[in-house]
Amino acid sequence: MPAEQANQIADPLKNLQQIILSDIENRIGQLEIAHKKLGQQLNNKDEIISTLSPVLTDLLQIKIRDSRDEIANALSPVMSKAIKKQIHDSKEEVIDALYPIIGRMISKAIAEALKGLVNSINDNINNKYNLKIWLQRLKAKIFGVNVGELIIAEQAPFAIREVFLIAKDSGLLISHYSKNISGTNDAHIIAAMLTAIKSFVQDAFAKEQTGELYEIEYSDQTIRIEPGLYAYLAVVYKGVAPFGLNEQLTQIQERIHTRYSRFLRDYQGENSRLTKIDTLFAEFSGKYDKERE
Amino acid sequence: MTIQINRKICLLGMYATGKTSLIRRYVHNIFDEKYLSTIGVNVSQKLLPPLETSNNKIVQFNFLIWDIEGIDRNNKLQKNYYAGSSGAIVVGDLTRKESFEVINGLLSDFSTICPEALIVLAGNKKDLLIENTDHPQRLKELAAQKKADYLLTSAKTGENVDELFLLLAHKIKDKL
Ligand SMILES: Nc1nc2c(ncn2[C@@H]2O[C@H](COP(=O)(O)OP(=O)(O)OP(=O)(O)O)[C@@H](O)[C@H]2O)c(=O)[nH]1
Ligand SMILES: [Mg+2]
Repeated sequence: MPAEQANQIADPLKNLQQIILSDIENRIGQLEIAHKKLGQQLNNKDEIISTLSPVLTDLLQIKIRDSRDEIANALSPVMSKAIKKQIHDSKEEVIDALYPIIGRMISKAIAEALKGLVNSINDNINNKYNLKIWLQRLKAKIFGVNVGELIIAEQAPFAIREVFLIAKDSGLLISHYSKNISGTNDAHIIAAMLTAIKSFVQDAFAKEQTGELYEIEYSDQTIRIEPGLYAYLAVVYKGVAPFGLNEQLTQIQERIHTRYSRFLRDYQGENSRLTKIDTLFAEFSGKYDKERE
Repeated sequence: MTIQINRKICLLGMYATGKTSLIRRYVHNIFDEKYLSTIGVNVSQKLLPPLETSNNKIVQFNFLIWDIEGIDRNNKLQKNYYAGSSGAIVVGDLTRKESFEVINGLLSDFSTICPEALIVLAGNKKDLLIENTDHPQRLKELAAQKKADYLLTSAKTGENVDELFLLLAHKIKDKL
């Protein structure tokens, strides 16, 4: 073939080649750009997150639905560690949150136990047929009270004289109610001395275990102590405690600690924000006066 | 408006240094030569004059003053009564050198239980001070070492007694 002719044939071929190749080159170029972009995306945390996050929850949901146990097994070591750490780091908050619940649980259990006791007392009473009891039973019917309670109430006069709310460590008086307004002057000193006695007893008699002083008796007067997380209640009464008094005290203590938990925790000797507790005490003690009338 | 603040403070020190006497002088303005050792703890109360804080509030302290039995070799119960104190006055007897030697140990116990509490030292029985004894010097060193203020007092004459309690009150107030 003469060279010229060959050139003429080659040219259209070349043209064709160019047409096809340039298209391929184009595509390769585009692919290269896409590849680079993908590479960048894979190296960029934020990009990966924004790409994956819309599907992640779906993925988890499906996974949890299909293989619940597997997920639980995988997560549990991490979760329990995290919870442990959370509790360790915020003990105060956990105590604040749990205190009212635990208190209620305990008082419920005690209430159940006491109910059993009352029932057994009532059974006892039922077995004794003497006239006095029949008369009392009649009264109980008329006035609508439980016989067991009535017997105790008739035997023993009872009156609450003073109620103290005392800061646990410092022995500072947070709140005070007194039946007769005199006597009030020494309330701060009484609160401190009571706290000193408590510490003394705790140290002297509870060497191995941590104990609590619950009651001090002096002739016909009793000081009943109701412990609490930040402050304890001390109730001074005359006579024999009516049935249910201790439960009532536990309830009041719980109410105070739930409502004022933060104030009590951070208590620094300022009582102006806590005066409502005095009213609570007055109501509480007044209730017993009314029951007597 | 005056804000009333109740605070617990303690008087600490060796037996017979004059803790009870300082309190009786401060609260009731009386003094007795007779020595009646304190058993356990005795609490007195004193309403202080109103004080002004750095941010112009007026506060009035009601001090519950815990007179804690003196340190001697046998009893270790004193620690039970420290909890919740805002401050302590640590009393030494200017006529008895030993009374200053117990202060270090006593303060380390106290500060462990009440790390935030403020301390003031007192060298008491100033009226009996014989010239040229180095006991005041010992007190001064102790105070410097503990970064605490100190005063020489006499429960008998009343010298520096009000000042002693006020000094502690001001320190507590400055930390409010
Ligand atoms: N001269 C003089 N005697 C004082 C002074 N202060 C106290 N006394 C006497 O020292 C003795 C002890 O005083 P207290 O106040 O009972 O001592 P205390 O530190 O309370 O002693 P304990 O309760 O045992 O720890 C008493 O006889 C007081 O009269 C003082 O400033 N000057
Ligand atoms: Mg004394």
